[in-house]
Amino acid sequence: MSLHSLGEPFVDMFFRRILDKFKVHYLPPNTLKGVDYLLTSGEFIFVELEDTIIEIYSAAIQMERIYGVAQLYGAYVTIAAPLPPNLSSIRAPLTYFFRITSMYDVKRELWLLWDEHIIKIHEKKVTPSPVLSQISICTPIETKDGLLDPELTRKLVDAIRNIVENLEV
Amino acid sequence: MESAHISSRPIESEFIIDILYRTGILKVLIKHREFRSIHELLDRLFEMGIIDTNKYDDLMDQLVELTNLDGKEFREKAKKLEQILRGLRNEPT
Repeated sequence: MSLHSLGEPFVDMFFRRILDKFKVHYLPPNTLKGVDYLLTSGEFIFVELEDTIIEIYSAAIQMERIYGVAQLYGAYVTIAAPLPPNLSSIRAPLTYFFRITSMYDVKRELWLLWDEHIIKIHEKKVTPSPVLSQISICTPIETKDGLLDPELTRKLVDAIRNIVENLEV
Repeated sequence: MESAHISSRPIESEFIIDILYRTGILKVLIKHREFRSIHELLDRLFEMGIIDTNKYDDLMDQLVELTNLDGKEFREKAKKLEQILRGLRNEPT
């Protein structure tokens, strides 16, 4: 089932069900300012949940008040959104997220929610976050000085396309 | 899961791009770094079949580069993107 464009309440319901199913401890939305969830599993993982990829632009800015805190704790900052039908559409928002966060020493991830899976995009040099590993497909992306460029994002989309095609078979 | 897009382009699409350009909306969006709106514009152009997958990817390359730039480099790249979008009026898909 595609979650894309279903609306944030439904995406939130889906996400919370996953957290409960896999017994992940979390602070829910409206607890912390600037971010939806704080997951705790040995490490801190700040998660902003969005219902469309296009919302990543706003999420990256909205989370600015969290980046400094995340840096203090060596935490992950994550944006989670449903896998879009047009995979190429993740390229610019992800680049923007990496640009905004490039001045902080934080671990950055983009989670693409898809069916019973999470495609977890993480920087190649960073170990993926230690939560929801049972349903995560970790996809590393190279960065140059913490930033992305057209070629790197095209490679990422190819990798995601392969993952999706293999899982759909 | 990605669908192929139509090659025919309704005449209305020409007007849409023309209006965006002539009213200066395109310029304002780019100048003020309204990446979200530019992205939405690209998505709509793609969904309406005004641009195909390859063109969408090329434009996304431009947007990826723009999001990383500031100052003079940004202005130059922004101008290029504006010209490409403007050129869509006369470009067959």
